[in-house]
Amino acid sequence: MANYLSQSWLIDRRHALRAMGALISLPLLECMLPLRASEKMTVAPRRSAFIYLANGVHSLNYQITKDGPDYQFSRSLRPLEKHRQSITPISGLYHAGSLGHHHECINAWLTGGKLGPTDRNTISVDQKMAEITAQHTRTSSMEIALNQESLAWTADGVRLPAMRRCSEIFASLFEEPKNGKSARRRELRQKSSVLDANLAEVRRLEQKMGAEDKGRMDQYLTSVREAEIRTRRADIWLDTPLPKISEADRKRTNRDIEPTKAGDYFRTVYDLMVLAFQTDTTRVATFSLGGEGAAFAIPEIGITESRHQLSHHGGDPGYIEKLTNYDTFAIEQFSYFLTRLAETKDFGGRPLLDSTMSLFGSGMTYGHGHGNANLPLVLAGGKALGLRHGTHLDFNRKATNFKGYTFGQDGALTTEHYQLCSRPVNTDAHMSNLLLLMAQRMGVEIDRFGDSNKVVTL
Amino acid sequence: MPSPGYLSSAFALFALSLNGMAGAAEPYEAFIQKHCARCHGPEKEKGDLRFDKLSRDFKLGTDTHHWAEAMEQVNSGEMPPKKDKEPKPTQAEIAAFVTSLDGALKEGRASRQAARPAVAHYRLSRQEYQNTVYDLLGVRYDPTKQGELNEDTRRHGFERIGSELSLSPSHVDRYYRAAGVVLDRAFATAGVETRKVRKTAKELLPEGGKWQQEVLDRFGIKRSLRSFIYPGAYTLNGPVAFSTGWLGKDVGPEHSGLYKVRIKASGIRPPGGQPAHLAIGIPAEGESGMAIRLLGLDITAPEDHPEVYESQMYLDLPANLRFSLEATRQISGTHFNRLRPSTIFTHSSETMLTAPAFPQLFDDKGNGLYSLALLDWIEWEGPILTETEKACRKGLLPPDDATPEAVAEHLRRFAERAWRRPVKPEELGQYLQSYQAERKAGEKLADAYRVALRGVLTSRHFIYLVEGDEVARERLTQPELASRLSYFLWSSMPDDGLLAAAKAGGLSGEVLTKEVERMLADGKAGRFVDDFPRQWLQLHRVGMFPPDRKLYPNYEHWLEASLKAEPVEFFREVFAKNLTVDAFIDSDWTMANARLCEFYGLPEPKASGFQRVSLRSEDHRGGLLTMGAVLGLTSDGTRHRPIHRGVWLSETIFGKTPPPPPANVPAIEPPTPQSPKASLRDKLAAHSQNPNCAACHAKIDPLGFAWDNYDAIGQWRSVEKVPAGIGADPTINPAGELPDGRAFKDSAGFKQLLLADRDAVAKAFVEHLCTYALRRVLTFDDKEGIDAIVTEAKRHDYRVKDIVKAVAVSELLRKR
Repeated sequence: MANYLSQSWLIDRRHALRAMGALISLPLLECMLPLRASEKMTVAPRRSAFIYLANGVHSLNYQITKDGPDYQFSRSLRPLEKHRQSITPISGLYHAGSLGHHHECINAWLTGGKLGPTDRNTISVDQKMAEITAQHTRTSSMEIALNQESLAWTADGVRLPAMRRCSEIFASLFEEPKNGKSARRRELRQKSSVLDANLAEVRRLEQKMGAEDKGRMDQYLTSVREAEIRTRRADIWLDTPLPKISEADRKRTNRDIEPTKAGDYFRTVYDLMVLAFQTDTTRVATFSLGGEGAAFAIPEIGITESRHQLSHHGGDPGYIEKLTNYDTFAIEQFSYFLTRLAETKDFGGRPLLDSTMSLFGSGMTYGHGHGNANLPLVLAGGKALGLRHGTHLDFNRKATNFKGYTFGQDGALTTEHYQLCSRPVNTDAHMSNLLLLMAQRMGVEIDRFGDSNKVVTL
Repeated sequence: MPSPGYLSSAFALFALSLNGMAGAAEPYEAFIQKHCARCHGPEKEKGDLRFDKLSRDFKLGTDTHHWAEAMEQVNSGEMPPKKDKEPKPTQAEIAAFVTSLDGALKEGRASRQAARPAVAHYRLSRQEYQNTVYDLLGVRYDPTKQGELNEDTRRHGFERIGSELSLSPSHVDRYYRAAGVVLDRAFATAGVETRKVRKTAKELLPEGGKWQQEVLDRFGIKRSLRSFIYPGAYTLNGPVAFSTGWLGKDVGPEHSGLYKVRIKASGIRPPGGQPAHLAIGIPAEGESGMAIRLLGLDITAPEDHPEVYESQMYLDLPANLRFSLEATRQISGTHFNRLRPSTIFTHSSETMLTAPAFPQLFDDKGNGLYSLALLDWIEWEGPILTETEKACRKGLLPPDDATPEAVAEHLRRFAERAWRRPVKPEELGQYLQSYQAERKAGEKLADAYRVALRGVLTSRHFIYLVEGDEVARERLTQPELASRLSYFLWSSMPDDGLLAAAKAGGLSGEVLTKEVERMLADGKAGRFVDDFPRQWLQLHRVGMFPPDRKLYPNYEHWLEASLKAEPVEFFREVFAKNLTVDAFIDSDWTMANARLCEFYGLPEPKASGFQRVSLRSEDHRGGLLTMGAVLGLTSDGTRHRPIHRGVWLSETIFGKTPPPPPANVPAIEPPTPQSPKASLRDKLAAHSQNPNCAACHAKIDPLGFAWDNYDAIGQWRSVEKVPAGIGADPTINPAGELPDGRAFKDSAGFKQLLLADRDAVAKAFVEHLCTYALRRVLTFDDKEGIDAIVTEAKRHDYRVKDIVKAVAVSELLRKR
């Protein structure tokens, strides 16, 4: 939305109109027009989804060791085998800013920002994308976290709040306004009026102060302004009927699921994301399966411990086995999401998978030692956006000082692999380069993102 | 495991130390000359880095990333390079380099963070917002509920640091929403009368207990029916504690408000088990357990002598509340399934008679096998609107026939309270425009005026504390000072008296002292006691990594809540009695409830709730440092974390934050099951061997090792349970040596050394209080102000309430 906001003439014209007494007659301004109407779907929408698995993985059972097209799936990644031609497992990337910041890595996962007591986080890539997609959709972006915090950050480095319950997500996407359209319209009018007054008040001070450092006042100004524009856009969308959701879809997704049924919970959220994309209600979604401190236990596969607890396995073979099973389980559900995207048709008749890029992964790799290099990442879908899949993209192997993966006599990776998961061997391989690629493929016109130093090619 | 990652999170929280800074020839300069300049100087410029060209102006912060990188490289041993022929820096040299450079960087950062533009904005924290709307309109609003205000960002535990409290469009939406909810509540209550309803145990049974009473009559049992509430995984079928319909058919959201609840009950506590903890809350939708706990009571009255327990809570109606009994020993499986809501219960001695198919709840001596609550009746009364609350709302709306001028004046008077300062009519122009636009759109006066009120409540003047004018000035105005004081001591807006004193320009000298004394004596000072220790001690970290259920089966929700409350209640007692800061370090008493007494192995207390209990030396408690909350928040849910404990102690008690560890350190691999069991302390020994690590860890680790006798939830132990490896679990060694060479044998000895350092402890306490009151990090420029407060505090033997007072009336607090 910020691309709107940077166009200050928009506001000014609004104010001019207001002065002429045309209080709400804005929908005719082309900038406020939902472009959906003018676009006529000649260009298929571009979409992105980001899915976060906390605490890293059991890297010894996760790492794919052969690069290129004829790689072999590792034990934990095997559920993705059927999507081989639609995915790219990526090894060797890391966020320089989150090295050594263990569980805070979730905060930088989509921002590539710096973490620290005095470092303010930067915008997350999903929000960067939403800046250009928001104008087309009813909801600018979707933030879901089954517990703890969301993955999304504003340009001011403020974290966006998350939705948790499926019924809450459903309501945010498809529910009619409570007391009907005219009551909703009145609410929006009043809100617009109040926010306008707040803005006018702060502008007056701003004018008096000139070019001086205005500190947090600027933040207040942009935030109120954005909230105000959203209010007006909500008003415009009131005239567009909500998408029709089949009774079966509604029944399946508009319900609350106990965290003890993790599989059902994960899949239902994925279903909701598919529905949101399919109806073009939003084009950007982030989904945290659970926070670093509180990702669910999965009783249905015999895991009663929290994921954080399993990740600190202390070498205990039982815990390591459970952690691997957990990884595999989470990847299986991601595979379900890809299957659903492949089965669902987009406006042009192509599979939704082709217009949707999905990034699955973690900001940590070796949970027991809080290692956050060589991040576990899988990029999927988005063929229509020019992504070519089918290979294992290994940035470790691109490093001259990489001495190869360390295998024991049994052919399995040895614990020395943990070093690779804690200290990047390829120091140029920033994860921001991947986020930059995704942003560009969404149509965001930037050549840098976070701490990117070039762009990943795929 | 000495995993490097653990070190960093604690370090990432900085506290500013005013000690050990400045000085002309900084030690890091000497280090650079000796070890760096040869390759990164005028002669050679390796890596495009020349130290002589880097800016030393840390306040400006132009080259801080280069400096931070340099510190990182030296810290991690990357630099100077290993193949360098020159002599390697010694541990002492590295320590001096890192400490002095880190100090300079921190001071620079702090001054950038503390920078005050001509007009400074400090956003209210969630808690402050809640208090402010209550004091302004008598409205109870809970901003922590899902979908309400966003959680505040903390800096080193403090929730109210201006530079951290940012605003996004989502915040704006939520403030707007909140203002609507608050105004709805302020307007709604007219004409709602208070109601009272009592339900006996019999009435709580299906069909009013008709069938059960018939059974009792048939057997000639004279005792009355009781509800028994047991620990088990209730889902939605737990016993009903409140149902909206109880108050009448016509009850709706307008009846929301404060309700008194009285419960006549007794409890069964199994020998050696936990007291019955009865909770009332809202069951989670589609989940087992409570989503929201509104009330928790330890029912300690014995079965034959039930007592009436009374409490109050805010109810959002319609609501359906359930009971649950929280204890770690739960009734489960087939036993649980055999219990029905209709099961008859009168007395432990009659269960065989009343319900022979009952699962066994008592042994043959009549001792309970589980913790149980036995309920005779429950009574609700509300909504209760106090006179003070009514007074806040009086005249909120202008009369229906008010002239535009009268409406404007009405709004101005409201804005003066809401914005906590005199307001000029022209400041409200845009809000009156909103009002007029609404009137033109056909809205009634009340509805249109409500829009203007909502504007006042979403204005920057309400959600921020605004200090300063377009032209920069050094001191606060009187109204600004009034707000600073009231948000310091009351976590809320000034009252009429304080604002009047400010308006009269009298907040200085004797009047200021009198006002501060009045504020400290007011009940609202309790909010300071609720808020300050929670933030200072970083209690938000309690339970952040939930303890492993297998390792700590006795840890549950009520224990965690009790542990979290202990330091706050302890602080309340210290504050109320005006004890000295020594109590924070050691005491022969603590504040505990029944659950904590059981956890600490203390005798069961007589009364319900928190109370002062005495400690013997063999209890191994006393002061803040050996409280379960502190020991737990510095652990990771599985194991104790000596480094976390050391860093926490350094920050909280000494106000010094160790330099951050290098990010890029090698991973520590987990032990194989065949290696011998080693204590965490032994595994951390690596720190003292590598000079790069030891430079900092020699100062941190001993502060943490002293508490090794306490496990990850704070239980006392003498051996450390090690999960993997062979051989016996290692014995704890809590002895150590402070950086200054003084030795200690264990935690008790360590406390004695801290008591000898009471000047330093008191000074750090003053610094934390000032950070809290000023809502910003401190800088070198504040040193003089701090010293003056410390001197004043020392005159009063570092008595805690006197220290708070000294901060409140200080010169420092009157500056911007």
